[in-house]
Amino acid sequence: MENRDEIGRVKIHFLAPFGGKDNWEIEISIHRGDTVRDIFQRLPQPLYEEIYRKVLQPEHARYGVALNGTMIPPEELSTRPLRGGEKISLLARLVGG
Amino acid sequence: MKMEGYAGKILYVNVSGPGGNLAVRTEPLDATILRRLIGGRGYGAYLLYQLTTPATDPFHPENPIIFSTGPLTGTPLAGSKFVTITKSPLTGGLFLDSYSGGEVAGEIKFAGYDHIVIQGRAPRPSYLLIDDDRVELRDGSSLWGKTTLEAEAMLKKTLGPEYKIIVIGPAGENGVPFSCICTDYYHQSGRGGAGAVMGSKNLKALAIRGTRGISIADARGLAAFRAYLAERFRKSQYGELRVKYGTPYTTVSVSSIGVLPTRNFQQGTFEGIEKINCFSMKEKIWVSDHGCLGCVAPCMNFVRARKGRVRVVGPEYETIALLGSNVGVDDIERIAEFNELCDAHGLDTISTGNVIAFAMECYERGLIDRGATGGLDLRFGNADAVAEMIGQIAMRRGLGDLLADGVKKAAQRIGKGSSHFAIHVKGMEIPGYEPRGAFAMGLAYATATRGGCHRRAKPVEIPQDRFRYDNFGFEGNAAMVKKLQDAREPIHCGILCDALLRFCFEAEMKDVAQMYRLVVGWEDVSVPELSQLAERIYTLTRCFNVREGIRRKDDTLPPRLLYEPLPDGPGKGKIIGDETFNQMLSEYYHLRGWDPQTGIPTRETLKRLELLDLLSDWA
Repeated sequence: MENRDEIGRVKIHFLAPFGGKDNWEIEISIHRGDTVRDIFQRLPQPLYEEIYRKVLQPEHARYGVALNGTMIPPEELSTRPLRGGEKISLLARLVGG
Repeated sequence: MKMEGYAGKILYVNVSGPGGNLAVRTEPLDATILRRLIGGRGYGAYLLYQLTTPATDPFHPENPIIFSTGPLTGTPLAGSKFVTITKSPLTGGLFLDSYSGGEVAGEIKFAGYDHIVIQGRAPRPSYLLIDDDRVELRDGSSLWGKTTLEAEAMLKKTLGPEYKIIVIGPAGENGVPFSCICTDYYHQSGRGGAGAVMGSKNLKALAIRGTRGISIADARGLAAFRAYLAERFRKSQYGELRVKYGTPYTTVSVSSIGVLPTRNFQQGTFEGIEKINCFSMKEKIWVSDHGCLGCVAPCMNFVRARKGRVRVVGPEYETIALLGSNVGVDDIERIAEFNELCDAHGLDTISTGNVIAFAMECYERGLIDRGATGGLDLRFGNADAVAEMIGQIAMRRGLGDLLADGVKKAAQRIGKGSSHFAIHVKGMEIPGYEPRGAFAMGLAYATATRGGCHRRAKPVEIPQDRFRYDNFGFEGNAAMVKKLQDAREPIHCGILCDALLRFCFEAEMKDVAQMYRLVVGWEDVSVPELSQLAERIYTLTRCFNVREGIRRKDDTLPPRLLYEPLPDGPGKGKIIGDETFNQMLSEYYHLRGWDPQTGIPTRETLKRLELLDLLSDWA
C-alpha cells in the first residue's frame, strides 16, 4: 500500500563497487523531510552498512556522494532535504588520467 | 659502488655523421653522478642540459632526442617505461620528458643501453636499427607517409616480430609540434612534440632488439617484494576499478566535482557525460583488456571504432575529456574513432582536442568564418568536423595548418582577443582538469616543467588526511603541489609506471627506496635521500628552463582560467585571480628555494642539492 507521506522517488546509482557490483541502480520512495542519509538507512542492512563503512563513517572518505551529478559535502548528506526525482550517485573519488 | 640494474652504457648516434655516414659511439655511465641522478628523467635531463644551449632550436640537428631508461626498467617489477627527452618544439625549446609503456623500455635495456642519444639529420627518410651492438641507419623512404600502425606493421614484417618499434606518423613528418611518438602500436609518448623532433631528423622509426639480461642485486628479495606488492594490490581501495575501467573511470569523479573541461573550458560539467563515461565505453565499444608487458594490473582497453571496422587501445580519460566534452561530442564511439585517427597520424590527443575546441569557440564567436574553415560547420558537437580537423592538422591542410602549430600560435595569428581563451601554459595545451574547480591544479600547471601538464602533480580530489589544503583558496596548496611533484621523481628516474604504483600498489617513497635496494644494491638508500633526489631533479629541469629564459612571469595560467568564474559545478562562481594565484606561487618558490621575484633557483639551493658541479654555467 502506498505510504501517504510519500512525496516521490529517487534513484540511487552505484558507480563504484557496492553490494559486490558496480554500475547498478535502484529506485526508492522518499518521504517529506527525507535527507540522503535517511534514504540510505532505508536500504537493506548489509548495503547500508557498506555505505556507512565506505562513505558515512570515515572522516576523509575515498568514496563520495553526488546529487544530480554534483558532489555534495558530507555534512549536507543529513541536512539537505530531498524533493523527489533526484539522482543520487555513489562513486569512488578516483582521479587518474 | 654497486651498479646492478643498469646496462652501464649510453649509445650516441649521429645520423648525419661525417660525410653523411652514421657516427656511433658508446660511453659508460658516469658512476660519480649516478646516485645523484639515478636514470630516466634525472640522468636524461642532465644529458640534455650538457648537449644543448639556449640557441639550440628544437628542430636543429644538434637538438638530441634521448630515449632514457632507468635501473628498474626491464626488471620483474611491473610497469616498465622509457622516457623521451628533448627540447620541445611546442614550448619553444623548454625541457620535455614524455613517457611510454609497452615493451620497448625493456628492449632498450636488453640491447645493452640505459640511454640512446640521437643527433643530426639523416640525408633521407630513414629508420635506425639497433640489434644489440649492431647499429645501422636504413632507408625508410617506403615508410615515409605511412601511419604509425602501417609503418610498425611493415617493419615487423621486414625484420621480425621480436623487434620493438618506436615510430612517428605523418604529423611528426610534417613538423606538427604536438606530434607524438608511438610504440608497440598502441602506446604513445604523447606530449610536447617529440614526434616532430624525430621527423626533423628524417627519422621515421627505431627498431630495437636486445638479447642481454639485466643483473639484479637481490633477485630473491625482489621476487618476495613483488609478492608483497601483489598483496597490496589486492587490498588497495581503487585497484579493482583501475583495472576494470582504466583511466576512463576519472570521467565519473571529475564530472561530479565540476572539473571536466567542456567546450574549450567554458564549463566544468558536461550534460552528455553519461554517454561518454567509463560505463558507456564498457557497454558500447569495449572489446578486451590490454596492458603493458608483465603488468599485474592491465589498465588499458581495446575498443571498437568506426562501427567495428577497427580496434584501438583507448580512449584514455584525457582523450575522452579533450576530444569529447571539450569539443562538445557526446558519442563514445566517435571519441574512439578520434583516438584512432590521432594515434595513426601520430598526434597527441590532448593538444589536438584543445586546439580544435579553441577553433570551435573562435567559429561560434565569429572570429573565423566558413571561408577560413573551408566550408566546415565548426560548431561544438559536430563530430564529423572534429574528424576532418584531425586529418587537416596532421597533414597541415587548410585551417589545420594554422592549428597545427598549437593553440598559443593560433591565437596570435587569429588575434581579435582569442588569446583570452587559448588554453595553454608556456605553449603546451592543458589537459583534462579544470583548475577553477581545484585551485592547486592551477599551480601544478603553472609550475610543471614541460608546460601545461598533469603528469608531475595532479592535486584533484586529494583526501584531506593526506594534505590539509583549501580547494578554493591558497592555503596548503603550494606544499601539496611540491610534495606531489617530488613523489613522482624517484619513479620517473626508475622508470616505472607511476599510475600502477600509486593506484594499485598505493606505494610510498619507502617502497621505491626498497626497489632501488633490491635491484641496484644500494643498501643504504633512504627516504630522505630520495626526497632530496626529487628536489634535485625538479630544480635541475627548472634550471634548464631558466637557461631558456623562463621566469616568474611565465609561470601563469591563461586569462580564462585565472579571471573568469566557473559557471557550474561545486566551483560555480569561483575565480582564482591574481592574489590567490600569486600567494600560491610565492609560497611554492619559497618551499623550492627559488628566488621569489624571478623564480630562479638560488645559489644556496643549487649547493644544497649538489647541483653546482653538474651545471657548469651556473657555478
